[in-house]
Amino acid sequence: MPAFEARLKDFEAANAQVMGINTDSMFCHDAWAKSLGGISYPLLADVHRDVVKKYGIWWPELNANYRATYIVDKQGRVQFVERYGKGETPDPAKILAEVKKLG
Amino acid sequence: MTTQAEIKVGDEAPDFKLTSVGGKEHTLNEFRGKKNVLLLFYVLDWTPG
Repeated sequence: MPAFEARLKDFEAANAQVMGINTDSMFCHDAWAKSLGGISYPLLADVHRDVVKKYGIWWPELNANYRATYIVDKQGRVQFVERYGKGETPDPAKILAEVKKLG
Repeated sequence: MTTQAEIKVGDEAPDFKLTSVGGKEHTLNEFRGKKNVLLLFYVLDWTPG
């Protein structure tokens, strides 16, 4: 997540809104963001697990979610999906290139 | 066992309304017609990435 914070201006220049989501509470998000020196984009709290289930990435064993990235275009259509295994994280440069394809 | 629908390229992204730090509510549809949206689902706070 700090990796995307570092490239946030590039995503803004590409007319993309960045949002982080997981199942932790906003209080946890707040403490965590402060520990990182601040995260400028919204960190959303899916405490009821409704959204991660809608996106098919609920992780039952942890009652949390798997790591995944979705790019949604201006028409509300999913244009890119990437799911990650253990130890894998999204590459901001690759995701930025995908966002730029949409214009 | 809950069956989960998998979201694929070309699908309409499910809308949501969630609260962020500070209590502000955000929806996906508020960006419709305005911006592309990058949704980063990460595992838990205090984990790498």
